[in-house]
Amino acid sequence: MLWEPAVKKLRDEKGDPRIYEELEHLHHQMVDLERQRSGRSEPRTKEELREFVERNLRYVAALVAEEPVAGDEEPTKG
Amino acid sequence: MPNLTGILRSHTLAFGKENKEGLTMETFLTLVIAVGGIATEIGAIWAAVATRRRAHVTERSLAEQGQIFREQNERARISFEVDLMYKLQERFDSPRFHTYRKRSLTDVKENYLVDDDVLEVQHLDAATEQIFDFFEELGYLTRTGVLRLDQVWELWGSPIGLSVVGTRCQEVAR
Repeated sequence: MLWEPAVKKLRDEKGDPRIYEELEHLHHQMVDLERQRSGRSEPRTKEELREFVERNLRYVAALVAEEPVAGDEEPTKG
Repeated sequence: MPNLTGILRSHTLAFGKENKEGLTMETFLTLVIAVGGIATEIGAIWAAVATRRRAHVTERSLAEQGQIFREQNERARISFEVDLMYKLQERFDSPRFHTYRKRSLTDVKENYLVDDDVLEVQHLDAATEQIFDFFEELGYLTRTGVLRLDQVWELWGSPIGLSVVGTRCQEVAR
């Protein structure tokens, strides 16, 4: 996973190996389900990830631009 | 001297007549008892058939009740699932989460999509943690059967499988 080192670091820091365990499991299920439905077995390409990030960034940036007041809240670390 | 033969004959004849009547009565009684026995048997068979039929009806009624209960339960479960999905979707599409998603995606774009390469994320920023917390909750609800996997996949399959949690494409990049 792309975020695996960061999650591993967080687990080590907090001494809890169960952090984001449910998310990890869900991710594997999603990947399996997508593979079953699309019939695609090969992993995603870098280009697809880049394209996905940029497309979604444009989408949420447009949404945030429409809601400047609510969108400016600073997220807190959970 | 009395005529013994005559006496014996008349006695025998008299006895024979009584015996015949006795036999007829006995036959009649036997017949009555036999008919009574047969009637009792038939009654018992009918009682058994009726009991079996009642048991069958009760069994079918219980099965129908069970089926109705299962259908009601499933309808309630779907109703709860749909309601929960709406609430989760509303949260994911809220202005607050738009900001988290924007910051998280910007972080990925600026720091981990370098030239033609995709780097592994070494640090979770606060916005990404918020999104991860959301998907952690979604994972729990899916694993416990509150939400169905295919429904979650329909709504959040792409972000979970591709962007937010990542992809296996970095394995290609190595």
